[in-house]
Amino acid sequence: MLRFLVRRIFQGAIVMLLVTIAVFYLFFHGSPEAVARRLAGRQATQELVDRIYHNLGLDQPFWVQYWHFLERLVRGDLGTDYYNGVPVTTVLKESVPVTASLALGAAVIWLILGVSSGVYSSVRARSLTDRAFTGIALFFYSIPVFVLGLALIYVFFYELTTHGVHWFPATGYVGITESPYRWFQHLVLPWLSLALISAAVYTRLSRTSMLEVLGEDYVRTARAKGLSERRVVLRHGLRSALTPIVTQFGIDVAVALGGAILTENIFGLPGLGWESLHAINNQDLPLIVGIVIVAAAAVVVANILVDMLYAVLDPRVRLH
Amino acid sequence: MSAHAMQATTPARTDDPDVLVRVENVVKYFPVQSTSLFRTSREKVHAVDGVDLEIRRGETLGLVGETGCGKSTLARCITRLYDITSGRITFNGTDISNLSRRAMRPYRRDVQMIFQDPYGSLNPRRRVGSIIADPLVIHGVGDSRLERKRIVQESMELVGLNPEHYNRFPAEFSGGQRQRIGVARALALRPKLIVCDEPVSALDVSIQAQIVNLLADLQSELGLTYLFIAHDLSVVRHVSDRVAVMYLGKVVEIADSGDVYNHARHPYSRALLSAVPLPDPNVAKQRERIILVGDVPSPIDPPVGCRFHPRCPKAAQRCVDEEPPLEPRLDDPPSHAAACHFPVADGEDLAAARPTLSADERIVAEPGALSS
Amino acid sequence: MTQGVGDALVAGRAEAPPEFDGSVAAASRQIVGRSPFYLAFSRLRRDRAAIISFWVIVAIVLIAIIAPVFATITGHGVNHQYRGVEALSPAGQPHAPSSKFWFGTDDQGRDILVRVAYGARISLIIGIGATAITIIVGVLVGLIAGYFGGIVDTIIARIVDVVLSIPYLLFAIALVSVLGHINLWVVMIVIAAFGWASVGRIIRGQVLSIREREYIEAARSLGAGDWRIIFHDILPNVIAPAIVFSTLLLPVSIVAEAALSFLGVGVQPPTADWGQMISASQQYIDSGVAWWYLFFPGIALVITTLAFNILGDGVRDAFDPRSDRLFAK
Repeated sequence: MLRFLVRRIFQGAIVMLLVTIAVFYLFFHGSPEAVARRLAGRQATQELVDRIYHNLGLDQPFWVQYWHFLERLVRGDLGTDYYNGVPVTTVLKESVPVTASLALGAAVIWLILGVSSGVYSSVRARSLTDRAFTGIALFFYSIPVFVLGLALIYVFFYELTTHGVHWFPATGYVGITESPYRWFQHLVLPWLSLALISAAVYTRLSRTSMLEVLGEDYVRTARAKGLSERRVVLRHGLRSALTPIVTQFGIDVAVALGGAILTENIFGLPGLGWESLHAINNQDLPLIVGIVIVAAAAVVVANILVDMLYAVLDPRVRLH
Repeated sequence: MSAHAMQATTPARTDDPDVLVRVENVVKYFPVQSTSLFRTSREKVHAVDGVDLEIRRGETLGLVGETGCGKSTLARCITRLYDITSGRITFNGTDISNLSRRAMRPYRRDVQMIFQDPYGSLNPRRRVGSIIADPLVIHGVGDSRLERKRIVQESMELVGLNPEHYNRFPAEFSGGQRQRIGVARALALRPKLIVCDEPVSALDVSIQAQIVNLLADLQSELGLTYLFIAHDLSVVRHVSDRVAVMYLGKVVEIADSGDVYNHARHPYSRALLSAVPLPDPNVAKQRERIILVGDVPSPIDPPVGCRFHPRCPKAAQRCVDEEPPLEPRLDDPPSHAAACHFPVADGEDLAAARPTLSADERIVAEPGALSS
Repeated sequence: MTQGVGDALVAGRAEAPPEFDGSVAAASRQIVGRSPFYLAFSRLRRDRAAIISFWVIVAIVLIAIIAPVFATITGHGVNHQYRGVEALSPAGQPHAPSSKFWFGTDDQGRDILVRVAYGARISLIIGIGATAITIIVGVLVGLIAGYFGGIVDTIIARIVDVVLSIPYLLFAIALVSVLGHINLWVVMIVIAAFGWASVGRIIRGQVLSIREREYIEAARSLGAGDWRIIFHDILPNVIAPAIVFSTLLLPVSIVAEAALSFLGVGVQPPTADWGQMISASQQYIDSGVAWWYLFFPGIALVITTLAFNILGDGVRDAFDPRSDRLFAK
């Protein structure tokens, strides 16, 4: 088990390394002069631009820049952004809680919603309820998140507000430490945008997984032993059915933590996704790299955790 | 040892025209899959551990043994689907042991294989005509599609299939018919040697008879040579001219078909024969039942000395100390060789035998002796 | 004496196998094999929801093709900005759906109906194009990694890991912004650049199991070279999952394209594009001024995606029928 963990961590590190190289390479072949030029301002002389270019180290060859980056990374320093001189770690520290609130909150909602409706559906397969759930799931599954988000704003913000119900704000974020109530209020619509769609995915996934498990012989045996249907489903069936769901969940949360760019953009939430959008538009390399590292690390760690979880949940993997 | 014995074990000259395939001291080891971080593992599976064999032109050599004895591996070594670890394989006078894939190609026309699983040995997504035409296309036989189609349909007729079915998919045929397709594919290039790896094991008994008869007919019609591998002794008996018995990677007995069945010398052969199911319960009740003790040892650590000694009803100390060579015993003709220090005589009741070796004297493996 | 099969052999030759009757009538009939695709297709035809979706998609394709007709019928060009009061309110805001503009106008006085029709072109072209590239690259990579194994496989597996760990949208945006010049091809390639990894991984898994089958061994024993085996023996077995994957990828590609243009890094204005229109509608949503600007492109996108999803489900079930199919006939 330990050997497995070590090997996976090693692989993960290599992946992270390659990811950072990829980011660097991408922007190295972008136009770093544009960055310098923009920083210099509209009326800068070529000399000024060149100086800025040099100061930022943009004139160095690729591997030199990358090496400097690695050196600083080892010390825990992610550099400062090009435009405001703000340390990248500060930016990250401010934006991660926002994204985390969004992602984790939505994750809890979609997991509960999706799995319960999926399991319920599978137990009453082909009934009216099942068809209804499956149809609804299919519908939400087909709505892009930005369409849903905007639609929710229109209905729940505009329509309600014009009718005097001020429940949901349109945009903005309030930290949980500032005011839990308003934090919640500002996140409800974003949560719903993400969660309704993902829940649809999980409804389908849970339903399929449960149906497969319920058809297995050992479930039939449990029924034959005389256990109540509820016991059979929940205790014997759900356990095995949960495995693919949990593994999928781990990955999905990690991806969401990487920054739900679209949602944050629509709802004006200053999280990782929002920052990354601005950073890319400005070609602000240190900031981009910082965000990519966080996002990629989340996915890599989630993959490792999921693999370990799989080994724990499914003994067959362990006996490999 | 008699003069006869010397003659039998001396390998014939490599240019002996009667011998189609000569297998000399062929060894095939597989490295054991290691679970550690670093790939190397010292252990090896001794699948084939020094086999000498000859396949003569026009004969059918039967090869029997239980699962894991190495017969399928040996077959794949002969057809060069596996590279051998050491030893020599000579085909039609040429040493093919170390030929590259490219150099082997012309020989593939002469050596073909028929596989065990009628469901797995045909690509389910290809039409039967295409499957049978494969060897033609690969080796550039037949100038045009029409020509190849003609050859394919000819082959189909030869094996008893309706040539009009060449556009069908394997799923639309029964097990027996699929084996016929496999035979047609093997025949397409009119090879010299066909290695049949348990060709009827997966079929119903009545179909088995059909396929075996087909193979026999084809042999006389086309002058084929067969290496016929099976674990069912009753089948092997009727098709084979000579039979070789394998155990744990080595040949323990080889003789003409009748000699193996009526005068088996090696205790293992006797045990195998006694286990063949008989339809007549009265006859079955009366014959000797030799029940072997113990499990088949792992081919990773084969027993020292005679490999069969842990399970042998006649095991003695000599069996641990000295590995018995494969040579004629007990006044047998040179064609009948067995690897046993205490061969079973005609009329000997093996079921009554008691080993002189106690259980803890049987050595499964000497530390460091056989792992290499 | 051992009995059993041996005696069956000795006692009597089996009669000629029944399947070979050699009659002339049989020879004259063309016998067509029933391929797995044929079977899947006939199953698909019985799936009502899938058939409906299929025709919806056909309708959308038709709309895309005859988009100029919409312009002709309404008399409004796709990029033509109308100034009159029926097009823009005095304050310069979009006009609600009316008899003149069935779907209303956008913030620049353009006819939304016509733009939605033209937008279908972009979505379909890029959706189909990106899917095609993704599948082709993914299948090739999967075949090579799965068949050759060893160092080739390890390298490809690492690359796949990297691609799958990269936050997709972020990199897509970055890639586009670095490339600078954006056209249809760029968007297609960017979308495919991240999709191929999942396909490659799945196909590789399939190839790994196919590689061990006996018919591959048989092909080797016949003397077939590696590439022949890959394309003649393995590929046909991998096409079915590839097709199923395509039907799943199509809606994903379409949404991806819309997301990219929503963020401004897709097709550039003034080309009519659904994602872009939705993005432009944002400013009017908070104030609730122009719901139609969101609604019509939005519903077009949802219907298209939904139709492809239903069809995709149908195709998947057709290739792999299970008892839990919901809308089985």
